[in-house]
Amino acid sequence: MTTGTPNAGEHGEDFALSTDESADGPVLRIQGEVDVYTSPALRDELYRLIDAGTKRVVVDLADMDFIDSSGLGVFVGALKRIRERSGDLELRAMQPSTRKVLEITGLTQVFTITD
Amino acid sequence: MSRLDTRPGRGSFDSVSTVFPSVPPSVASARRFVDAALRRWDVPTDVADVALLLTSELVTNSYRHASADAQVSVLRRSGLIRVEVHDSGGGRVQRRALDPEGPDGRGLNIVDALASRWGSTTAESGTLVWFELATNGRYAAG
Repeated sequence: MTTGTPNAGEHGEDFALSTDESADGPVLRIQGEVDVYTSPALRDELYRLIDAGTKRVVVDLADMDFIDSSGLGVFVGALKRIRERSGDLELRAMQPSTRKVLEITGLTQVFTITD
Repeated sequence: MSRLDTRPGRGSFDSVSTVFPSVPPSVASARRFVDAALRRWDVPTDVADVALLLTSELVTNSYRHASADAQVSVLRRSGLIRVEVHDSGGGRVQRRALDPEGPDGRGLNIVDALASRWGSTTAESGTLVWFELATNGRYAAG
């Protein structure tokens, strides 16, 4: 099952979220740029998945072209929320530019990161 | 609103500047504006990518701390580019110790880690925050 973001259009053509329900739990795919404008929609979707009770959320970053500190703050908030429920948030397939900003901010030590 | 500073005979702009309203979509608009200037100047892609990230941080800070328009300027000198974000708010620019698991406080730490130089001035006219990046692989002072 795939659900698109109903209001993706209002965030511009460059940003979209889609969630695939796999046997191992939901995979949230981020397309485009995550900043102060688009990150609230990302937070809402992550919290919706976490609050539904899933123990493991995978975030696919292969098509995320840009993230700044606003987006990183959303990831950290979601990680805390799911770990309070003894779950985990996994960041998958990030681009080199994303890895660089996570390294600078010490977040490669905080998140579960997979290829 | 847009102000272009051209120097006759040089064949290209040495600085461009424009004003963005204090709303969230302005952060992406500011990145597009800086990107266009750096492409025109043939700034290497890896340098431009860093410039867009740092621009995003500074314009986001302006949006969060000042409910005023932000003027974004992109300047070029030999061997470096400089981006300035100026708003009429009086917010102090203070980098906090990095807490990887904290909810915020990353923006200026990212700027500090990646800029060749950066700084800020706060005056009655508002707050100016700027950064510089070397474009030739090493930092050229001045």
